[in-house]
Amino acid sequence: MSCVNKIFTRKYTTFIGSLLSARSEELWCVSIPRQVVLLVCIPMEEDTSVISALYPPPPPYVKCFTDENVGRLRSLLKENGGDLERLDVENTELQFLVPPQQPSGPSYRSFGDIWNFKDKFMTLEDAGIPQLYDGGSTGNGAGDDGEDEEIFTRERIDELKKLAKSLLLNFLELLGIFAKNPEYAKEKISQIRILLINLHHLLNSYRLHQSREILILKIEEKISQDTEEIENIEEVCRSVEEKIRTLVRDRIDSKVKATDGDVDMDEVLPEQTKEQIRELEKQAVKDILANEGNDSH
Amino acid sequence: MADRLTQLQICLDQLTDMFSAALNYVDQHHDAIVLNAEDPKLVDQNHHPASNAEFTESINELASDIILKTRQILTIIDTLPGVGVTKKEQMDRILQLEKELYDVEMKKKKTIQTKDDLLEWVNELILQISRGIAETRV
Repeated sequence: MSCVNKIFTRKYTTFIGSLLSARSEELWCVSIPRQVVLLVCIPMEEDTSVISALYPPPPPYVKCFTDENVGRLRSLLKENGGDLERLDVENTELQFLVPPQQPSGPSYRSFGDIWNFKDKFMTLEDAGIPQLYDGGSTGNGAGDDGEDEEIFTRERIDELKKLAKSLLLNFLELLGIFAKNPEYAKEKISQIRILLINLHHLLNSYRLHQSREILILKIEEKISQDTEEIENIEEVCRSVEEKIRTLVRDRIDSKVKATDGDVDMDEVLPEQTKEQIRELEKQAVKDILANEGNDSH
Repeated sequence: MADRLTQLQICLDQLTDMFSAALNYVDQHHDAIVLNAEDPKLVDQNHHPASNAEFTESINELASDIILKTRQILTIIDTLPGVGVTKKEQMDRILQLEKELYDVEMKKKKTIQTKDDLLEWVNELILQISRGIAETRV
């Protein structure tokens, strides 16, 4: 930052100096870029202080929020029955741990702006912009929490389309005015501005509706995904069971065929058949393992 | 990908940018014309207007871009979800889906439990079989 500053100042100070010394500003057709002036105004010597002053340091009472203090407050609260207001913590470290009361009035001031405690839907009327579309907020804006803004009907869609088309038409008119008499363009530009504000207002009022709609879609998606997963798991389980059953049946079949009685298979079977059964078993193990892989997947 | 509404808002912003870009282009690149046939045409050293064909072509392109963008906006407006559905209907649907989702989740848990049981059984089976193989080899 400071490096940039220096480069810019070196480049521009002479230029600005000559500009200012000329003392005939009205004759200059060039305007000094605002950034340049700002950059020159920053004192160069105090580089470090500029950076450290970007954000204020945390307030000193953060040091009171130790584990010990928090624990003490908690036990005090327990004794007290959970009533924050009647705690006797005046003039101790603990007083910082009790959250302050909400300021009275509907709004508060922070970072140089006034904020409302309650989020409120701002109608176009409140903002001082004429409403170009039909229906909706006129007359019952604040009363029922802007309920009417949340219903999105076919008429609203039509209004949106109308606004979009008239935006195009107005731009065309603006071009015509520029060609014939630019003096009158200002009025047209403000009309386009109002059109755009109306469009954006309509879209923003649709936002709540849209988010609910998306939530519905997401849940539906999740349900179908889960159902599919369940089916997959069941399918794999079924196939594993089926395979084991086949194996057992094969084994019994081969045993019956080979022995034709209750003689122990291993003694009667020729070496070759034994080998085959081992192969079969190995294959079965492999299959089951593979299936397990799918399963856990 | 952003949802429909955000798309629409972005498109609207783009359209506005296009308006400004088109005006800007005409402002910067138009050639001067002579009002009086006898007047000589002065040339500004610092101004390099586009050639006639180029200018017309660019203007056409800008215009068709604007039309296309408007058409896109109209299409997106048409496909906005949930038109004509009231808030109450939506909330009812969400509640119903919530219940459904809960049921499905429970079923899923149960299925996974069954699967784990089967897995254990199969594991045991494998152990038994391998023991059997080892014994037959002895």
